[in-house]
Amino acid sequence: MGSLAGQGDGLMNELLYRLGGSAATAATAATAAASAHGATVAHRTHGQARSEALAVPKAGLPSYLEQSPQVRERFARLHAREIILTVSHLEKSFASTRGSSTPALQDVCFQTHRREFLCVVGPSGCGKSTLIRILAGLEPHSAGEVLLGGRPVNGPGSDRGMVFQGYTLFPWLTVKKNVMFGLEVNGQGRLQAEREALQWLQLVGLEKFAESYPHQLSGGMKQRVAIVRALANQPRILLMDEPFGALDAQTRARMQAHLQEIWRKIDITIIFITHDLDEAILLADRVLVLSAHPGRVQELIEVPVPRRRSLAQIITPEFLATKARLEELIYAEQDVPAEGRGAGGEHADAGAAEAYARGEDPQAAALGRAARALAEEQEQYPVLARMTDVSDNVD
Amino acid sequence: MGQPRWLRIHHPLSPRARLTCGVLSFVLPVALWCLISYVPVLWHPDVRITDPGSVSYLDVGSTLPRAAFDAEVAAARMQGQPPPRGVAANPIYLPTPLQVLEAFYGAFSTPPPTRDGPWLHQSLWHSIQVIFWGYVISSVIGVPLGILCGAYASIARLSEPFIEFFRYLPAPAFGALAVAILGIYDGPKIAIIVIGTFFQQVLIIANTTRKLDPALLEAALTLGTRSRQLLTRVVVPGVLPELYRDQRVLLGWAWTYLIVAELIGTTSGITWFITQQARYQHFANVYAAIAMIGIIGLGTDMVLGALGRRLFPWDRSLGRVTG
Ligand SMILES: Nc1ncnc2c1ncn2[C@@H]1O[C@H](COP(=O)(O)OP(=O)(O)OP(=O)(O)O)[C@@H](O)[C@H]1O
Ligand SMILES: [Mg+2]
Repeated sequence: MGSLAGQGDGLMNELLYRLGGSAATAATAATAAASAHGATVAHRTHGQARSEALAVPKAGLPSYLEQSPQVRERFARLHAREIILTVSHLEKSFASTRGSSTPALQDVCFQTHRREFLCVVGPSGCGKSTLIRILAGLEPHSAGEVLLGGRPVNGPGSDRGMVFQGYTLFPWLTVKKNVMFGLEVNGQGRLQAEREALQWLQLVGLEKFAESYPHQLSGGMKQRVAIVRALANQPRILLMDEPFGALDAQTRARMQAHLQEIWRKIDITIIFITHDLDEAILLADRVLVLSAHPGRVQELIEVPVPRRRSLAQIITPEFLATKARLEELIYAEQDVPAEGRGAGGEHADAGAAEAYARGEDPQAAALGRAARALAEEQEQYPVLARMTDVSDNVD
Repeated sequence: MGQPRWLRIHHPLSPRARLTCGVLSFVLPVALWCLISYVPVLWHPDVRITDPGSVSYLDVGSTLPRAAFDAEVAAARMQGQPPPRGVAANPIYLPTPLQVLEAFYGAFSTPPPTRDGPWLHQSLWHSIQVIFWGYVISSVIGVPLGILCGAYASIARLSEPFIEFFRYLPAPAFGALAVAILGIYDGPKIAIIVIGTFFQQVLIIANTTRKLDPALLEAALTLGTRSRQLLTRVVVPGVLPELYRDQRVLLGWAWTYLIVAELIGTTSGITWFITQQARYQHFANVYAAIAMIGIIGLGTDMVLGALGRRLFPWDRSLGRVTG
């Protein structure tokens, strides 16, 4: 279960994992209800059987479909916003060596609203990168349609920014010139581009490094520059393919906070690929779960965790319920029992969840403190200036 | 950790160690040369005559193989004549370091044998000009063509098969043709250097261009770069440090064609000097001239290397390779 390994502190991970693991089995009982907004729900007999064995009330976790009034209101606002991106019946197959073709994506349909934060998760090789590359226009699709603001996507363009997992800053340009790149190729004058680039760098607290070259920056700094380089073009949508995958746990937590801050303050829709379920729940309004071979949409989950989010929420019931659901979808799909979820482990997990539900487990309390400490540490992002007019609130 | 640092794979050396090793790489071969030259028990297969004795055809200072010398000594003894005497010596084609050093100085200070003949420095300058023009002409066409081949598969496919074929043809094979077309002076010499450099250049630079990280191109595309800008704004600056390194290697390549090039038509430049000196068996001068070519080549490359570090401060690997 690599999803938590990225989150730092070993003890905390272990505890969180145990809670999460038990919640996974507990919350499954509630999945019978259909997901809202037309997403498909995969019914897994495997998961259901297990959930029956464990009585739900014992674990005390709500259904991931349950939303508090504030959250429901936030989603109502989200759905009221215009639709930016429509992906319908998207198919992609790669020609393999012997003339046949292997399907990578099959019948993928979803929509994103303006200023939505959509995370895409799924087992390795399920076509997440392929999907985002098609959206970026870097890869042609085989069938179906991708509409951005009503117009079909045809090749890459500055209306879609992209942040890659690897570092793709231009090594021969200084940080400032990297950010100016998009502005200049789109015909903006040098002075204007420079002024804007500096503002963007200020947004991520890197104005001091404007004249540095990328090789002089740390990994986290490079990705921050890559993000503002993409944002400087004022794209309608920002596509991110595991952008924090190569970063260490602390940096990653800080980058998540940064990204949320940026997203709150500017008018941008984000599609974010990750293999880290905690990251997905922490960031997303909705999580798109893909299945593998070929990649299909399993479910589009509305994350019931209230905004603004912080790492402290990682142990709240909504968070755990959502995570349980995601794990169930992804690991059932992979058809291998997740480690630590064997017959013996289940009882221990159930005990922990139960204790948690009673709110008296000293371990859980310690865990909460640890999470809050971590959350405080990441509150160090700079004060951000608002870059574009955003009248409505995403929180 | 038990291993000494210089035995670890890919481990960078400290600046001091770098310098020491660099100096040693010259000092060691020269030391070997000194040993062979000055220690009589090492090698010394010949005998240099100090006293010809009764042998009429020997002169003081001439050398002959030890076996022949021993036979002469034995023959003289048999006839009761005074035997020749001599000291162990190396063959005439291996002068001592000191002799070469003297020749080095002497070559520049000796006036040319004929009144209108060139001084050595003039010969050298002439050679440098031939190299320069050959290299420039080759690069002016070869670098852009190489980049285009690397960037566009169609151009690569159109030109590279023919270039692959052509690069196997030895440049000197075109000597007679070049003289027929371009006359006997510098034209054919420059042409040979161009032919020797150009085809390799296109292929090498095309390969370098193809190695550019495709993610950089994709990043540029998602930033709204159009394909024409892609070439000038991403491909060219992206490959520039590597291309510069290639150009340094290719300059060395151009130098290796110098001697054959200068033999074509009227012999000129440093080659003229070398062939003259070899004809009179002034091998110390020949070595001095060869060393000069090496020094000019290495010197240029070091200057270019230092310049490269200034031009491309972002490049992480520059300076490690010497062309
Ligand atoms: N250029 C290609 N040619 C052939 N097959 C490809 C190509 N790119 C991807 N695939 C196949 O398509 C499927 C999806 O690949 P993709 O890279 O999109 O997966 P992913 O979900 O991003 O995986 P990961 O989480 O490991 O990054 C894989 O089975 C892969 O083998
Ligand atoms: Mg991927």
